[in-house]
Order: sequence, then C-alpha cells, then structure tokens
Amino acid sequence: MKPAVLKKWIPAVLAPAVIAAFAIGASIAADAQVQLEPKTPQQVLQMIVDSKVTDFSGSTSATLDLGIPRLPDLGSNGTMATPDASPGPGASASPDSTSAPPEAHLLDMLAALSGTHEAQVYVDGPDKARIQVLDGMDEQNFIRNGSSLWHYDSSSNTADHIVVPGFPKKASSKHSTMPPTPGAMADKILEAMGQNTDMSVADGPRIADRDAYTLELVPRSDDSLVAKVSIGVDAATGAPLQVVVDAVGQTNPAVSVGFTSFTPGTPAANLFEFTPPAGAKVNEHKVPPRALKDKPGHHPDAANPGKKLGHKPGNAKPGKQPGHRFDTDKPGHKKAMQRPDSIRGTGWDTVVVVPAKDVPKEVAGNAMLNQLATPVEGGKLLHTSLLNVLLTDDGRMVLGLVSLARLQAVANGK
Amino acid sequence: MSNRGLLANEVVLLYRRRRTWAMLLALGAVPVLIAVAVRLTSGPPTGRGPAFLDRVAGNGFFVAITGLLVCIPLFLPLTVAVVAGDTIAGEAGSGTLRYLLTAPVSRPRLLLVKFTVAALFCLSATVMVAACGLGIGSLLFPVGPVTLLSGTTVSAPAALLRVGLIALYVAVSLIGLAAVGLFISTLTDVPVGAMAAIAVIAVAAQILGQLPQLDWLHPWLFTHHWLGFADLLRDPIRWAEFGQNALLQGGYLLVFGALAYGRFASKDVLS
Repeated sequence: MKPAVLKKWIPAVLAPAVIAAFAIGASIAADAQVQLEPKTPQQVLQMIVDSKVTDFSGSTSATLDLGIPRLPDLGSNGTMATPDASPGPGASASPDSTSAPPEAHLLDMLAALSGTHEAQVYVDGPDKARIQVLDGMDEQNFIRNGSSLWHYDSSSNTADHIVVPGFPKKASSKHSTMPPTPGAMADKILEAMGQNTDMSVADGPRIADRDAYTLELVPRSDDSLVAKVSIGVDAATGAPLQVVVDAVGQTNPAVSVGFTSFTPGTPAANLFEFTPPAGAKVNEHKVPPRALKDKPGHHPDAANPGKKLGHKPGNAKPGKQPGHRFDTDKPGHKKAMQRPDSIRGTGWDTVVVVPAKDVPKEVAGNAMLNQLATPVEGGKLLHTSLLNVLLTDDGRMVLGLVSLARLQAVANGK
Repeated sequence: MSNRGLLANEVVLLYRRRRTWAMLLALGAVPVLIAVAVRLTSGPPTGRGPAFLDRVAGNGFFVAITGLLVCIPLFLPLTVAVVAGDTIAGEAGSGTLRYLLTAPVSRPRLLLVKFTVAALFCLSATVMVAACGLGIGSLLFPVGPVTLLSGTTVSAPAALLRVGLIALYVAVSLIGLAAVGLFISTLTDVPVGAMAAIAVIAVAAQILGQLPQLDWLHPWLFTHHWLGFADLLRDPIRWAEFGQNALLQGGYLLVFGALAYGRFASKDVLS
C-alpha cells in the first residue's frame, strides 16, 4: 500500500490504542498499592471497633462463587421479546411455581444467590437504614425507621410492615454490654482468634476509591476449606469496606462483599420514610412472641453486605463468638447456635453433626440433591468450594467448612 | 455544498423514504399491540412476561416502558441495521456515491454526515416507540402518578420526564451499533449484505452476553447496558449505568468511526 493510503488508517489504529491505554491505566490506578502508615493487626482491629461512622450511603456489590456450575440465564430478566417464554425474577410469586417441585425452588435459590448482586445502602445512625437490592428490572427494599420495618418487593408490588416496639431500646442496651474500651475489645478478638488464625495487615488496593488497609486472616488449619479472609478497612474512618473469603483451590473468591462506592454523611431523611404505593398489597405482620431480631421478609444474605459489615448494633458483637463473626453465610452457623452439643472441634475446624431425626425432609428425600451429591466412603457428599455436607448412610448430616476427610473422621466418631 | 446543506439534504432524504416510515410505524405498532392485548385480556399474572407488563393495566406510562423493553433486543437493532447498513453501501450500490463525492464534499465529512443521520434515526426510532406507547397508554388506561421500583410514587410530569430519560438512554445505547454499521457499510457495495451483517452482529453480541463463561468480555460488548435503564426508575436515580453506557458507546463510536474513516478514505470509489 502507498504511504498516503496507510496514513488514512492511522486513526483506526490510534483509537483502540488510546482506549486500551485508558483501560489499562485505570486498572493500574485501581490496583495501585496504597502507601499508608504501617499498622499492626491490633491497630487495624482497633480502628474498626473505634469507628464512629454511623451515617453513610454507598453502593455495594456481592459476588458468590461456590464452584457450582452456572447456567446461562437466558430470559431471566423477563426481557426477551417473547412474552410467554420468560418467567421473570419474580417467578417465585407466580402461581405456576408454587406447584413446581422443590427442586425448582432450589434451583431458583441457587441461581438467585450465585453471581453478582448489587445493592444501595443508606444508614443514618443505629435505627435508620435502607437497603435497596437491585435485581435487574426489579428491586427489593428493606427500610428500617425506628421501630417500624418495611419490606417492599417491586416484582410483586407487595409490602410487608412490622412494628417492633422495643427495637430502639434493645439496640442501645446491646451497646452497653460491649467491652468498655475499643482497645480492650480489639485485644479480646486478637486473643480469641490468635489461637487458630494468622493475622496480618497487607497493603491492599484501594476499595471504593478510598485508601484502605487489608486485614488478612489465614486459618491455621490443614482441614479448613477457607484459604483466607480479607477485610478491607477504610483508612480514614475505620469502617469495614469489604470482606473477601477465598476458598482453597479456587482462584476466584468464594464470597466477596463490599462497597463499590462509600460516602460518609447523613443520607436524605426522606429515604427512610416509606409509604406503601397505592395499589400495593400490604401485609401487616404481628411481632411474634419471641421478639424478632431481624427484619421481616426473606433477604438474600449475600446481597445485604451492609448488615454484615457490622454497622448495626445487632451485629456488632464480635467479641462474643470469635471465629464465627465472618461466618454468617454458612448454614452450619445457625444450627451450631441451636444445638451446641452437636458441634465437634473448634475454630475453623468446627464440624456440625445433625442427628438423623433432625435432618429436614427436603434435604433427605430430595431427588435433585441426591443427584448432585457424589457417593463417597460412608455416605454422599455435597461439595461447594466453602462448605462440605456429608449425608451419611445412617441418615445423619455432617457439615463444616472443612475437607471431606475431616467430615468422614467426625462421622466415624473420631 | 456546505456542510449544513449536505446534512439537511441527507436528513430530508431519510425522512422522505417510504422505508424509513414503514420501519418507524412498525416500531410504533409494538406498544400499540401490547396495550391492546393487555386491554382485551385481563392482563398477565404478576411476574410473567416482560418486566413491567403487569403494571400496564394500572398505569398507561408503563406501555411506553414495556414497549421500549420489548423493542431493544431485536426490533430496534434491526431498523438501525437497515439505516446504518445503507449509509455508504446504499450510495455505492445505487451508483450515486461517485456523484456525491464529485461535489466538493470531503470523504470524512460525508462519513460524519451519514453517521449523524443514522444517529438521528436511532433517536427517532426510540422516541417513536415511547410516543406511541404514551399515546395508546393514555387512551386505553388510566394515567397518573407512577410507582417507581423503590416503592416511591412520583407525579405524572415527573414520570413523563423519566420516560423521556429512558428513551434517551435507549437511543444512546444504539449509537455503538450505528457506528459498527457505518464501518460495515464502507466494506461493501451491497447494502443488503451490510444490513444483514449488522443485524447478525447485534444478535450475536447479545448471545455472547448471556454466556457466563465469557464474563470478562461482557463489559466490552456494546449490548452490555442495553437493558440497564431500570436504574432510571429507581429512587434516587442511579446515574452510574447511564454514564457507563454513554462511555462504552462513545468508545465504539471512536473505534469504528476511525475504522470507517480508514476504509472509506483509502477506498477506490468506482460506482
């Protein structure tokens, strides 16, 4: 080609080059190591405990990758041109799915939890909060204003309302049970976790465009499926910005919950005032006899990072259950609280044994679960990258964030 | 011929074509069909069909939104493919390109004018869908304050503004495809071939966008934000998606505009 002709193609070469340069530059800037004053894990923990950020707003993103194969979500947004073929994300509310087999529900749930979820979080003090879970073309709203709790689901246009009279008082009483000084509390956590966890502070990347320390917790255990837990802590305010759980043998984080933008400061007051829209179905709920601790409605745990990050008084008691604080995703956790006698082991190696009579029927007799499970010595194994569940031949369920070998050892009574 | 004169000429040419109006009317028929179907039946049960369809019966505004939602994956890209594919290849195919260029019009300027016309069509097409949706919606259904996804209710004028924003969002979303189309149109003298190729690319990009194995590619597909306009129906409005979409489409415009220039400026125009 003649030089004059070649010249005409210069813009065509330059344009992608410029864009590539910008993209690479942006990702380098995002990954840039932050030069912060070095701190010990104790000091970073103290920053978290000491943090006075009670008012903030931000966008959060939660990604769950448990090593379960994913299916293409064709039409899951209800956006394909054929109106009939696509049950939207609100399919669980449609009459069809109520008669569907439980396997379908399970699939729905897995699909709903895996992948990336985004939410918008607004918090104003301990008793005002709003979480908007952005689900494609739909939105779930959880609003707390004092003792009044609202849940609004845009896909079904329904609102749930519950008033918990003693709520604010309870919250403040919890505050008083906390250890007196932040320093002492940080010490307590360190002491409790130090027995089975290596802690270190790494120079992490910036999180949500803010300088952050990354506190890394590495289980001192050969059996744990958890490779590492990283907690990003805002250098300026001490607010936890991100929690990442890496699983053994998986490159992508198994759980990643964190802010993509974070703004300290009081959000607009009208965000916490909710009036159900005209035409919405409103369900008024009574406070159950045992006072409800959490909000009504179902909340996809992974999608509500704001709750996990310990800003709400209800969650701010890390000193009490060392080693469990970051385990809120794990099914074993709740059961462990209910039946302390069925727990074997401590710390990261904790294994929960559910006796045959207590195994829920949906699990024991579920055809699809049985298909997903792989036969192993002594039973069947349901494997995800963070949690192993062993359904033993005698009907017990043994689960924990540990390797199969340890589950089998526990199942055999060792 | 002055720049403005050429542009005015081309715009007049676009809207004088029977084909343009046939496409615009077909697009306008989509929301009308949706509205009539919902009016004649009792409406779909909650959670079935395209998002927002179950709200149509309650509020005419949602006819426009549902119409845009239904048109984005296929109908709008098809019409844009026809217009963008015709830009250069159409002139070359009918043998008028040579005459256009013998007038003192530089090739980059002709390219710019052709692209502007295609972009104008993107906007007219989305406005057509939105306007027909609003029209038929207000005829068949009550129109009033709109409940946003966040559960907040806004007044009718504010809702009208949101529908306008959504139409703008969709129009911007199509810019990338129009730029790709302009480039493809410079590659051939057969307009039908260019149109088909552009339509195939639009569909292929959406299929790639559905495959989880190609996660890394998704943010770079020009279709990535096509359905992201739901963020304009939240309270407060999330502008992030709008911005990212505009940036992405701008990038496509830059790259494929430059490619089209490279090809068109170095091409031997024989017909």
